[in-house]
Amino acid sequence: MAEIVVETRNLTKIYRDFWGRRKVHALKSLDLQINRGEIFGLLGPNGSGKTTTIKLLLGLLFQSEGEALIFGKEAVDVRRNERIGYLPEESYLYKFLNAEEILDFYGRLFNIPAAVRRQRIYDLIEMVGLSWAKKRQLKEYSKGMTRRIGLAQALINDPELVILDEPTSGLDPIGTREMKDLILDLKRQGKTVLMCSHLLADVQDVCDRIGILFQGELKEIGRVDTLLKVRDETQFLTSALSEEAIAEVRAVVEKHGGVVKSVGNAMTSLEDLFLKIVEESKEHPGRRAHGGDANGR
Amino acid sequence: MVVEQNYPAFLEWFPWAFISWLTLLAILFLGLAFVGFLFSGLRLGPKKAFLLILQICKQVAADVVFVSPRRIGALATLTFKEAVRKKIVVGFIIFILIILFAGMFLDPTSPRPAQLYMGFIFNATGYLTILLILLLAAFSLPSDLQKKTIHTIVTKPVRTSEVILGRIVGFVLLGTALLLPMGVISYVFVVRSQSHTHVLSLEELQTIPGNYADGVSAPLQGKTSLARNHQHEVYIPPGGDSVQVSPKNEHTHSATVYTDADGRKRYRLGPPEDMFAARVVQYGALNYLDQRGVQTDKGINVGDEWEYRSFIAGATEAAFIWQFEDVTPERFPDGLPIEMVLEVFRTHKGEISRRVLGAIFVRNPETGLTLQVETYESQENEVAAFKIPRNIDLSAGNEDRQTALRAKVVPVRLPGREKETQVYPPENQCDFAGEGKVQFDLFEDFVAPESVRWAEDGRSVTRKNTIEIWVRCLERGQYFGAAQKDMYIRSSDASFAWNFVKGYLGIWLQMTIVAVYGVMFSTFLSTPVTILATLVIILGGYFHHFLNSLGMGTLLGGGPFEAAIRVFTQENLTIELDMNTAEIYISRMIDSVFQGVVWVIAHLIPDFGKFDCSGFVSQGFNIPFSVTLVNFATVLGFAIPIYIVATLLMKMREIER
Repeated sequence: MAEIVVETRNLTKIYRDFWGRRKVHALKSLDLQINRGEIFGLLGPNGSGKTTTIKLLLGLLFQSEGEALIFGKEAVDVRRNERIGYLPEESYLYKFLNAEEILDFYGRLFNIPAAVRRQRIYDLIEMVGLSWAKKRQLKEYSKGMTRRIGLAQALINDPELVILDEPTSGLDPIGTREMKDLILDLKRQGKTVLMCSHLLADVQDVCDRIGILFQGELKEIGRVDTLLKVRDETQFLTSALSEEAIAEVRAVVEKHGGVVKSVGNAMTSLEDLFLKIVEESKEHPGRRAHGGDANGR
Repeated sequence: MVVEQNYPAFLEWFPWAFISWLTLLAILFLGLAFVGFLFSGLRLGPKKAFLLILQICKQVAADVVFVSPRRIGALATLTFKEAVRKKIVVGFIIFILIILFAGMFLDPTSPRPAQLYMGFIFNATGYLTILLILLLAAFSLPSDLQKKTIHTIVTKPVRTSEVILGRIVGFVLLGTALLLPMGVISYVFVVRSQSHTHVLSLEELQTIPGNYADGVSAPLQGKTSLARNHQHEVYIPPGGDSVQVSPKNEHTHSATVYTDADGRKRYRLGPPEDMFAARVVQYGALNYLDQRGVQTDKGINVGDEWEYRSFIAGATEAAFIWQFEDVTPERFPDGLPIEMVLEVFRTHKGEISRRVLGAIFVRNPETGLTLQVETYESQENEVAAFKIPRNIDLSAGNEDRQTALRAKVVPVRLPGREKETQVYPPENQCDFAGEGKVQFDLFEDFVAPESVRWAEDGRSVTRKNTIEIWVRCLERGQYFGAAQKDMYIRSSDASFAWNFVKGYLGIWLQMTIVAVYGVMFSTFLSTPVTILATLVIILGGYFHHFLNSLGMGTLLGGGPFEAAIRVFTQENLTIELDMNTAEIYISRMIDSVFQGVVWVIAHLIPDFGKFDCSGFVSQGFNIPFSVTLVNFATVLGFAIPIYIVATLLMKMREIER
């Protein structure tokens, strides 16, 4: 049985006013288990309790009831944080520091020895592609750059669990893809990832399992492939066929009592098209890019 | 005298202070735990509440103790960098501007220029640094919470206590970094601004006529040239081999004598001397003789509201008796250097051409042998310095001494029971043989190797190598006033520069305590309220004496209710109210609650005045090491519980809200 890294039991958060009167019931009896090595996505519209769950897990908020455990420990035990990396929704970083300084600062908070720290700072800055701007103060950074350095700080301690709050917010499509590749890479390294997002495509692309929250309640939880599978429909994806071949396939389907609902060329996603154009433009500067041969040209 | 308060020796002070500190700490934290228990008990029930409080106590204790220096270092560096990159240097520029323009509004004609300049510089530096640190501390944590930058810190393995301590250490480092250059600049400014010399022009000096031996030039007297709005009186004795420059504006000048190409004697005055001193002084115990010659522990009250000094009447038996211990030839081989300042209260104008006259005596407390060593012309509130020589020669022909004076045995009448007095020393102890002597050795004749006469709180105290110095006022109808610290032996001089550093340490300590309070308040208050709360602490610290008197109930007029009754009944503050009436009784009861609250507040705020040692520096006294040590310990004593409370408060709050 897989080791449980994150666990909530009957986790409830009620916001109260100064007089203790109940204002908002932000999270209602959440029971959740996240196993080692998986990418878990928390989904839900704004105000559904995703960020509240993460903040309760990290001890930024106090639960009204229940338990929020990471590695089997409550938030009061700060030693567990040595194994956690956290990227907040907005990269809340000290803007008066430069990239190297900020990573060095967070590295020192983990008591990482100076030599190791230096090497890791170098690697991380390389990884997030900010070597060219490492001496610039963060106040001069664009939102995407800040997000990247935010991610680097979350990984400074080589964590076992990475918690990402809206990891792709503020990133351009290339950054988004890189972030998603990186999340998958973290999984390959055996790390556990808990992310929350309302960008469904992102979650679908990377998550093994998802939980859907609505108005503070967990409405659905399960593996992405299982949840998304439409059981009464079958889909083939082949290389391009001639009109005759399509007619033949259609005849075979009808012969077996099936109904052909649609036939046509497969569509690429807008994200794929955009990335292809950017790639092409890099390879052939000055030439008009047309997104590869999606139409056979 | 400058040093009006008594400063205890560290080792005498520490045990008592430590026990009181522990007691107060226990009361504070038990009180907090009890309040916490009451509140959580209402919600959770007593058993759960008790367990919760126990858990919080354990967590806070672990938090406070197990801190990582590297993490604190990282957070402190962050605080420091933040301030530097957010242009804290502006504060420093303001300081430089103040210094640059100081010369425009500091009175150059002041009779105490060094005091004026140093007082100004210490105040300017102190207020500026304290204000800067207060503002930075008030903005720091609330801004971290508001901008949520703290989220990336508390989700790392950082203890709450480290967040607090990191801030405090950061601000203290910052304050230190500000104070260091400010100190150096201030020192240079003060010393350079007072640097001057005078020209001694022989044409301006007058010859004192008289019969002098052949080849010996007549003595000269006159004034130096005007520099920094003052002149010194100068006397060149017969022969012209030296120059005596009288002190003026707290300093004098040394003079060098040289011969020019024509073989004439020339004189050159040097830079100011004794202006920037750090006198290491030894104080004695002070008693008084009343007009009938009976020893008392207080003199006459001449109606001065400031009861610091007591007075003695002129031309009576009344005298001040200072008793100094540990007076040995090894310590003072050349004689006893005494400095003194007296206040004069006149009931008539007196002799218009001179000041009020007094006399100074030395006396052996065990043999009663007494000798007048100096006459004294009162220099009101000016320090008079004189040296009692080791060998005193009254023999004829010795022109420095008034030969008419004789040593006398003077017994003191000590107050006995029921208006009886007893005489000390008893007759068999008196040194009548000494009365006939004309040559005296200060230590042999006037220092008692052992003296047990003085009793404090019923205990007899043995004092070793004791000498008495008496001061009398010689003019009828005039009064001298003095307090214990108005006379002292100037044992030696310490380095002025080092004393200046110790003076700056006083500012550093005040700045530290402000940083600690600022950070504590900022854990649960917004920036404006933090500023206000810390300002209240600073004000309370500067008016600590008043707060303390209010809390102890020693102020005239009672608490607010009693004061209100006095306003309506138009009763004077000094009139005791009739306790038999119900309203007075009830008002006193309510006032005692108020008094208790003020007492607690007074004990939560340090006495800022005690940290401020600038008075020592500006008035030329060495700051005793013991004072610095006591101040350090006091700041630590406040900082530790405030740090614990700050950790507790921060731990109790939700970071996100």
